Amino acid sequence: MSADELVKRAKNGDSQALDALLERHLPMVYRFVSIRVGREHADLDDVVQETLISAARSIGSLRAERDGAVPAWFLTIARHKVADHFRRTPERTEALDARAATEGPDVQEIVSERDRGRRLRDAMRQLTPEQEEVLVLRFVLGFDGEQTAAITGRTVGATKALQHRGLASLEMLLLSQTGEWR
Amino acid sequence: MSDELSPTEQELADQLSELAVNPSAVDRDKIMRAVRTAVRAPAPADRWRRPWRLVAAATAVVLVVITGAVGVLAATSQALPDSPAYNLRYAGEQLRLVVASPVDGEQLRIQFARERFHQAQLVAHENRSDAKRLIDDGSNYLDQTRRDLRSLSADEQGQVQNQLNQAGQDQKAAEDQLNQQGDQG
Repeated sequence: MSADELVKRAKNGDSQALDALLERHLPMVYRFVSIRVGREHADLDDVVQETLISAARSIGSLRAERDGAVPAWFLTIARHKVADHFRRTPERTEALDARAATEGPDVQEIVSERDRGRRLRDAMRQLTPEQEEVLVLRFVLGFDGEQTAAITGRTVGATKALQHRGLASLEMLLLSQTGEWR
Repeated sequence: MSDELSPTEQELADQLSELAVNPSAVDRDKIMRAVRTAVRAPAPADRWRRPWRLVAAATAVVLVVITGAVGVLAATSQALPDSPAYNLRYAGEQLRLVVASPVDGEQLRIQFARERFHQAQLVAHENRSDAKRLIDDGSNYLDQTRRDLRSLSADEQGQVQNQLNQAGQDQKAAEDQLNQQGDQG
């Protein structure tokens, strides 16, 4: 069944259609939340759940007239839930850092890997919101150029320009942090 | 678009992709089960999250209660003593007396008494016992006002006394009519 048909039925109270709509967008929401809160974060599942529950309860507000409106709607809700999460529980890294100082190479490797991810996420947050949005859609969520343009409501050319500027800024930010980013 | 990336851009894109993680089948099942359970259950927290909604709901409840109470009291304001609604009429009057100021309370008693005297005249020819009870209850209201009169200021006493005199005339007219009906019976 098409996404449009699912949305239409879900808005008319069809619980099976609503369920299918949520399940279809769960992987996208999961990847989006995981890049924001961290893939190992204990609250990752909770934030995804909150996003889908909120989506289910506000399905009546979904306007799916244009292409890309449905994923854009889910991502907007997810963005708000991630913001709520950070208001409740600011990022904490001290405990693992302390363990890394005293324990073996396994923990150090985890910390090192995690630090690379954290640096990348920090650099992403310093991009303009438009650049960050395009990079997430393209390279984290796997949308192609036309889909990204539809979701963001921009032309393909404008999306492409944002992508290139975003990647260039990201490289500069990572280089300025550590002198190398690879 | 992806194939137009430079090697450096491609490497960054790959790292970005690795930042995120896909849900396992177990994760997906667990999340969907929790979502289904939550969606099926009512959502009081969401419903009352915004304070204005709570205020609006409380206001609506109060309005319904007030409207209902006013409606009931209005419907019972003409109830006769042989009707069960007469007790409601009396209770409603007592409620109004409780919240009124002293002088307003005395004026209300006089108003309740006069309403009974007028009503007694209307029903005297067909329901003598109701008419008599109405006159008695109206007289009781006037007696209470006469007892309380001294607790009011001089100006208020004068004002209430004038109304008492008018109510006394209504009482006499009602009693006369009741007596005439008795004579005719």
